[in-house]
Amino acid sequence: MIFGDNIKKDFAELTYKNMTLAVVYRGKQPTAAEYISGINNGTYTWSGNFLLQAYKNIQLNVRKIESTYRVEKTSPSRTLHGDFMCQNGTAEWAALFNKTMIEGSNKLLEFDLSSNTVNFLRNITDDDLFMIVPVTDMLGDGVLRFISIDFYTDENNPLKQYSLNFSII
Amino acid sequence: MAIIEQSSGLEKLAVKQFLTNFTANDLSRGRFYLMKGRIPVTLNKIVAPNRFRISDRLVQWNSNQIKISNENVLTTNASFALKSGIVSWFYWYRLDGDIVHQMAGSVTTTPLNGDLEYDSVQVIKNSTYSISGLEFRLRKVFDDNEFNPVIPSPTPAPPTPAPINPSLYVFPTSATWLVNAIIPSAGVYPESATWIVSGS
Repeated sequence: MIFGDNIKKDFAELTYKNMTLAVVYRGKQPTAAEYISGINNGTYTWSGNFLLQAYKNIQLNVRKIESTYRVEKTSPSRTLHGDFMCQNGTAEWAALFNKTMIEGSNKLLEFDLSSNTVNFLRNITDDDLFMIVPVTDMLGDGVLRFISIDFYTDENNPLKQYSLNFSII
Repeated sequence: MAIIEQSSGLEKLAVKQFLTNFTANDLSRGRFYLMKGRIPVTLNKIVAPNRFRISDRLVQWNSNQIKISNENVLTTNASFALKSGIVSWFYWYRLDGDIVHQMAGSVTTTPLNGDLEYDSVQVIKNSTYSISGLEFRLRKVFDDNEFNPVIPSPTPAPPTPAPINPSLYVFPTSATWLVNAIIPSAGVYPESATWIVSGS
């Protein structure tokens, strides 16, 4: 199929610009189905062994770069998005969530500012709004990039770069 | 290779929100056509879709004849064929002020791997046609099979992040075209054919 050029902008603006929540993990990147199982059995929750740090309210914008539309972080690179540090480890992947996942009566998760924890409030399903993405340092090609992918609980690791690129053939 | 996977819920939301640009409201200036002739190489130069390839239009559905159900499934009312011909592509557009939302895809018989495949692509003037159950989907899994231009930056230049190629496509395995001849007593072809649509 072929599309008018603005379809890429539409996808970026209408949907993916709202993926403003991130939870960073260590270990092998799972499939979406494996992530669902891992949340529901506790493996990938705050009490599990893989969750490193979470980020709330990432400010995103859409920028056109030649024929590509990029959803990217607009805040300065050292901007903190909360102090939700869970455990030490080397980051490999992350789950991005739509901002509506922390809203409404059926919200999926909450960022608890009193305890600086991120809690899943119910079982996650494939109908929830999330995506699994790679994480790298600045030399890699991850959707989320950090100066260092080594995370420590006594040091907030600022999100350096966030890039989702839309370029449909 | 970087892999990105989205949930089904996110995929459906993206399709739903994208399709709102094509449906918006029943009074909007939009059309869905079955077309003959060569499919365009690009749509980016089409600024007046209401005047584009008029002579190649075989069947037309107006915006108020198009319904989206379950957030991503297109169904139309019945519409008379404008002329006879062989369908080779479809075209859907909607004008939103100065913005043109448009898409096109190839139509072939099975199994020639068109975006839409049918047992027959022959349209007969004044026969009626409708589409039922044409589903739009996005891919759930993407890899870095496509690269963006490198953004100028201080050396050494970092690699560009993995791009997303959502590859919106139609998935009409359950779609059918209901064809009803308006002159039953004549030997009109086809009288009661059901077109079974299978997506590539």
